[in-house]
Order: sequence, then structure tokens, then C-alpha cells
Amino acid sequence: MIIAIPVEQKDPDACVSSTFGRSGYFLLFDSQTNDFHFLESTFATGQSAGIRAAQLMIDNHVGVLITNRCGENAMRLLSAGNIQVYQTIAGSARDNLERCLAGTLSRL
Amino acid sequence: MKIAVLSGKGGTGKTFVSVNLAYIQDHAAYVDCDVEVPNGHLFLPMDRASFEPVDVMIPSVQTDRCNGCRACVDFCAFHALGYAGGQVIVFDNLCHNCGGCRLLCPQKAIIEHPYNIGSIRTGNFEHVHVVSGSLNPGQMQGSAIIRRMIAQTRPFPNQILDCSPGNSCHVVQGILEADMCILVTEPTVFGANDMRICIELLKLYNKPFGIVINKSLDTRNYIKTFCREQHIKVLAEIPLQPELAVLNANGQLAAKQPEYRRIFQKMLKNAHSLVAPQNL
Amino acid sequence: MKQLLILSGKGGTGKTTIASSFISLLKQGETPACFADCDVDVPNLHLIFSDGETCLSQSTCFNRRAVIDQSFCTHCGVCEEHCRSGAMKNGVVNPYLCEGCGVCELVCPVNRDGHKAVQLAEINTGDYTVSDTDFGIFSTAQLKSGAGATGKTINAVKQNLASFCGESQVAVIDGSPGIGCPIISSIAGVDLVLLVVEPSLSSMSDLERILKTVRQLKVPAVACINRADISPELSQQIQLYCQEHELPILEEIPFDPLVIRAVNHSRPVVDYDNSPAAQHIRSLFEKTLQHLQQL
Repeated sequence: MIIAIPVEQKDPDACVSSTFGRSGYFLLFDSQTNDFHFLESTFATGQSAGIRAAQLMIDNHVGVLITNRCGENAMRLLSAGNIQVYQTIAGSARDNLERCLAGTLSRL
Repeated sequence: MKIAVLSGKGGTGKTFVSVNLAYIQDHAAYVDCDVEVPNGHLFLPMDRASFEPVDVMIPSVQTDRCNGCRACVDFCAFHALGYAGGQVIVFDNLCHNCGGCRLLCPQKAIIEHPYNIGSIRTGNFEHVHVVSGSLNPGQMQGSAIIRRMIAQTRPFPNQILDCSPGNSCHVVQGILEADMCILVTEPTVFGANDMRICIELLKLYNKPFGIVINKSLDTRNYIKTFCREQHIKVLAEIPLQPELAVLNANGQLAAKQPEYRRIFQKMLKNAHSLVAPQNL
Repeated sequence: MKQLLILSGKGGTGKTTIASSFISLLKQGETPACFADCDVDVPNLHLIFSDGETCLSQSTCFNRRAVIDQSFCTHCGVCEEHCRSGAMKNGVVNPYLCEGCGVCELVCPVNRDGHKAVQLAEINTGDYTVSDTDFGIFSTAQLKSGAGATGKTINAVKQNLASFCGESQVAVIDGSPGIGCPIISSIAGVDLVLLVVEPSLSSMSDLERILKTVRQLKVPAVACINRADISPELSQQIQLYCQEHELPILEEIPFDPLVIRAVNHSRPVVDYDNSPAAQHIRSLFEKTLQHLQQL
């Protein structure tokens, strides 16, 4: 399963982004291979950033998204794509991933 | 004559000037183009107003014909379409109703249906024909409402188009329709700054325009100096008076009182002189 | 960082006046802060906070507009037939009505070497700047007249603020009048909205509309009544309305001629110690900050 987390730097120990659509990068973690990579946003400053970010998640076969907040339109698209959305806790992307895998995050 | 009333800064008195200018004429149309926050109807309450919903055409995708090619999603300049769970998702309030996706779809899978974005109320207040547009809260923009109001009132020779503040596309529609524009400002640093920005917009359209200085405190102010230097006509100067402020706050027409009526009559006469043909 | 956005619905109720005072009070209280002007059509905050080192200054190209190549356009009129924004008339594009949808380019039957006779081209829509002032990082922009990119420019102003804000705890965002796209863009990601109302029928009518918009976007809101003593009856009506709609009114600010003087000297009102309005704005500030910090 692929888990996505919006971040502002290409570093798993960086703090998670406070937004979803306007994030500079998305960390994608594959729970089967334990590999991760980063997707760079091309639309962080543009219009409908949330929807475009949601589409990016769908097109990259994300199964779980962990985010601090998420707009209504983006949420609608994520739900249509059967992506489960969880609330971030304060800390790094790595912290959030660990909590997610341990099942201790709550739904957004 | 069709007059568009604008300002750069909000709250300078566009509606105040607009409703009174409409009122002093024998039979003018007052068109409230500030569809996000219309106020003219508070000063010119219509009796027996007719109500017309304004709908725009929004796409919907027939799933049995859609093959998931996503050409529509990629085309949409406003990112109002997404693709998830094997179907196209339409974001109604982001759609600009351009019809492009329907034209583009190779499977002819897209049809359109009406989507309500607001309404127009039309009626009369005494001798004034009132047209008031309203955008539903939550909707992004009301250009379609303004377009329809302008088209409906086109036959009226005398109109006051009360525009929204700023220099957005909503304001542009009013400017395009008008024979001349009145720019309402206030003699503050903010008012002067915003007036200059609005003047840039008016110059782009080459429309005759004049300034009304509202809430004026004294006879000398930098707006008058600026207008003199730039050869811009000041059509009227309305003093800052508590009585006027209270009348306005309570939705009362100042022009019902003779001393204020005279101010608006002179303003209108000066506005006419900007577009009247000059005899050589 | 907590973001406070100041809105009103109706223009001229005192958003910038209050925003500038809040920015000054944050500095006085030594709270690390930053601020932004989202009234990108006619920004005013830079008139008060004009000093500062520029960190970022860039032209924006947030829109595309149809451009007709007259050298091979056949004037067939197909583009005009399909243009729903009324921007195409007699083979001429009105760039101020064109929304950049691309339908004209799509339907144009004339193609020369892969180029259509009408194509979309990027246009300059204004510029944005970020400066490091004594009061904190300041993000603003000036939209080019008629460019039609208000929402996108506002997104950029807020994005720039987020990029440069550093350790700021509070961000004060000065909004624009209205309820449409610019307001909706401004509200995205904000923690609290402060609605500035004045005692007039117009402002009350607009309050109803802006409140609906804010509540649809599920952002908490508080309010204040500016120039409240101009009409005690209307102020009372506003109090009742807000009670019914669970909108807390944090303060009533009296009319004060010193406010106009402050504006004309490009200074925050709270610089004037003997101003009655300044005293109430200070009180409003404390209460708003409390609300913000509790979120």
C-alpha cells in the first residue's frame, strides 16, 4: 500500500506540511517494499491546488493520505478514489508514518 | 446616457451616488452590478419585484459512454474536473461554463445541465426601474448574472450601472456598457491611491470619466490637486456631514431633500457635459 | 503559525485600519508575526508599512488570453459562435472579458504548421513582493488592471507568506470586500476570520452574505462593530443578529476623527494614545488573539 504525506522539503525527517494542496512535495512510502520517494508539486501556487494534489495522489495509486488539513473539493476527489485520509500529528513525516503503520492515527 | 459608477476603494459611496443619480432622473434604470454584495435595493425597494434565477450550464458525464480517456480533465483550464474511481468528477462551483469539455469529448459522453449561481430581481421604485443581481454565497463569480442584467436593460437609454469596487472582470463589464464612468473616491491616502489604479483601468477603455469626491472635509485636498494636474474633471464634491452619513446608514435617499438633490443634479449635468458633442 | 483574516463583505468598514493596528500591536507585544495584503486589486497596507528590505519581487503570468493571428485568420466566426464570455466580437478578442478557457483554440478550423489562428498566450497579470519590515515579513501584490487573475494572485500572496514567514506565530491577513472568488481564495487555510461591520443597512445585508460564505467553508469567525456610535439602533440590531447566529461580537469601536488623521499620515491608529478608537482596537486585539490562540 502506498502512503502519502505532504512535506515542504525532500527529507523524511522534515516536518509535515501544514497544508495539502499547497505543499511543495509529497512523500510516497510503499509499505510493501519499505521504499519511499518524493513527488514535486508543479501547482503549489496555482489555482485548484487541492484538487490537483488529490488527482496526483489518485494517479500515483496512493491508498492512504496523512495530512493536517484538506479542502472540501479535494476530499471529495480523494473519497471518489477510495483514498483514506488521516490527521497528521506534530512531528516529522517519519513520525507520522510510524504512527500510521501502528494504526494510532485518527481519520481526518 | 449610460453611466457606470466605480471606485477603487470600497466604501467610498458608489451606491450612495448611484441610487441618488438614478432617482433624480425622470425614468432611469438602476442596475446593481455589485452582485456579490448588492445594496441598491435597500435604497430603492421594489414593489412587486419579479424574480429570475440565473443558471449556467455545467457538464455531466454519461458514464456508459465515457471510456476514461481523460481528455476533458486535461483540457479544463480551471481544473474543475477530476478522474477517480473510474469516473469523471465535476466540481460545479469551479466550472466556468465554457462548454469546452462537451465539445472535446471524443465519445460525446458529456451533456450539460443548468446550475443555479444566483438571481435577478426586477421591479420599480417610484419612477426608477430597478434591476438587482445577486450571486449565491459560495459561488466564485457572477459574470453571467451581470451579462444578463446588462442585456435585459440595454433598451433603457438612461442607466446607472452600480459596479463593485476594485478592477476585476465584474467591473469591466460595467465599463464596457457605459457611455461614461463616474469614479467615486474619498480624500484619504487610501482613496487617492486606489483612485489612481482605477484611472489606469478607465484609460485602457478610453471611456470618458469624471471624479466625484465624497466625504470631503475641506476645499483643499490632494485629490483636487491631482485632478487639476491630470486634467481630470471633478464632477462634484460631497461634504462629510453626519446628517448624510445617518441618512445613508438607514437606507434613505438623500436626493429626496432639496439641498442634496441639487448636488446630484449638478453632478449629472457635469457628467453629460463630458460626452455632449462640442459645438465648434 | 495561526492565520487571522480580516473581512467585511461591504467595503470601507475599516479592515485595513484594524489590520494595521493589529500588526503594530503584535510588534509591541513582541509576538513574532507576519502579514499579508490580499486586497490585490487595490492594496493599501503597503502605504502604512512601506519600509523594508525586499526579499522577493516578481512579475506574475497567471492567466492566458486568446490571441488571434490576423495574418491567417479567415474570419469564419466559429470562435465567436462558441465563446460564452462575450470576448470575441468580429474577429477581435476583448482581453478583459476573455477567461482563457481555450474553447476558441479548440474549435478554430484554421491550422498552419500546427498553429491555430487563435491561440492562448500567457499575459502579465501584475507582480508580487515580499519584504522584511520592522513589523515582520510582509507579502503583497498588485494585480494589473483588468487582468482577471485575482484568485491566483491571492494564492501566490499567501504562498509567499508561508514560504518566508519563518518562526512567526501569528499572521494577519487584510482581505478585500465581496464574497466571491477572491474571498474564497483568501479564506483557504485560515484559522480565524474577523468580520468588521458598521452600523448601516448595507453593511448588515453584506454581513449576512459574508457570514454564509465563511460558514460554508467551515472557518470560525468573530466580529466587531466599527463606528458603532453613528447609529446605536442599528448597532443594537447587529448585536441581536449576531447573537441569533452565534457570531461573537468582541468589541464596539466608536467613530473617531483621529482615525482619518492616522490613515492620512500612513500610521496605525494605535500609535495615537489619546484616540478613543485606539483604546477599543487594543481591547479588540487582546480578545481576538485569545480566540486565535485557543484554536
